[in-house]
Amino acid sequence: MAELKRDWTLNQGAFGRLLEWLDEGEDSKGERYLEVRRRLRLYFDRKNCLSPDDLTDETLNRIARKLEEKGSITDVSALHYCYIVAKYVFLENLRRLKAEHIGAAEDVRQDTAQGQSVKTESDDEAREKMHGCLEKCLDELPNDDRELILEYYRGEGRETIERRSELAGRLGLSKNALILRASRIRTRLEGCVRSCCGEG
Amino acid sequence: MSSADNSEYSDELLTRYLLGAVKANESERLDERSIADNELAWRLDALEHDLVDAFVRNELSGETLEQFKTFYLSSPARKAKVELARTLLNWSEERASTREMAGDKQVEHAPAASANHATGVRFGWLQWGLAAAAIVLCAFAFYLFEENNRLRKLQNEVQEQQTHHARKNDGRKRERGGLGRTSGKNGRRAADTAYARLGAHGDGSDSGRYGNRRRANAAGIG
Repeated sequence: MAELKRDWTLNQGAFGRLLEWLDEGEDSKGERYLEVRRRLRLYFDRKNCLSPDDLTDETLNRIARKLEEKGSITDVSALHYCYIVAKYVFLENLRRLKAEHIGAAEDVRQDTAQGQSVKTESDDEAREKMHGCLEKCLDELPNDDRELILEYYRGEGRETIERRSELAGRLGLSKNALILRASRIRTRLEGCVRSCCGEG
Repeated sequence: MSSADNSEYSDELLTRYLLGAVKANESERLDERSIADNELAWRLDALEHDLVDAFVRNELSGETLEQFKTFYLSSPARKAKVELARTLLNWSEERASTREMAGDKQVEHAPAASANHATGVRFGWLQWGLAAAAIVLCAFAFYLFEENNRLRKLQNEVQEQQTHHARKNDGRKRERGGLGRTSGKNGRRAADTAYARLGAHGDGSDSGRYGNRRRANAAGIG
């Protein structure tokens, strides 16, 4: 797969085409794009890449460019194609880092070590900022979702398990359905907090 | 990707994947599914949240705890998730404590079979609102009842007074209609009547009207 030309940028038209292609016939109003972006970021993060956001952007830019060149990509599903491109981006990044005599894992360990030596004041400031952002994002949640999260995360150990069973019963949900619903609300919260903290 | 394929992936396997503790070929398959398979992606999200919460609550131990510390916490983004989880759990406990202190018993004593907690809190307000409305209605009904009684009593009193006055007037009318009245028009009638009676029993020497008058005066009438 050809490397992206450095001078190519994602314009409005190409972005719109990308959204449409990801939606696969259903207008998700950009939700599908955000979800794909989140999954790609998680993929690169699990691979311990230093800059998951940059690599995610690289992946989506390449897909958008391919769509612009070919007009459509129909031999595989949109999500599957996203994985294929992401895998190539990861491998290229790994080769580049090895070529520069820096392993991704080593980089992360160094980064972590440096992070530990950073003065705690910035950690405290970051923590304070996160707390403030969490409060803000929780306030922006619909009342039902906020109450569910409040109840879902109360208690410890056995009490938590019993409380969640009770909550599932009250909502008329299975245990797994409740877990998934709470998880989605929390994922939304994480995205909101990340944006609020300025992490993209 | 069929969601039925997800049955081959246990929670234990997926947790090991999240901790970077699966073989390369298994990891690659799961990498693909984590992007391309909606159900698996959401399962991974939920398991990751549970894993992070367990760490924050000091519920991890042994190999899992070691893998969490060495692999999971090696990423700044994942460390941020742990911090967020810690904040979220603290917030949840603080909010719950605040409500308990404020006496919001619906949170503490919501029956298991009743509506969910979110509507349970709202149901508390509704309950109180309905109770207040019922009290107001009862008070208003009581007021109307009392007012009705008062008006009835008043009506009865007025009727009694009217009856009393009517009786009094009747009595007076009867009194005015008797012989004790000797002056005016009624007195003259009474005099003529009395005179007529006298004339029936007189000496016959006086005649005419004036003769009659003299006889009436003599009788002390007129």
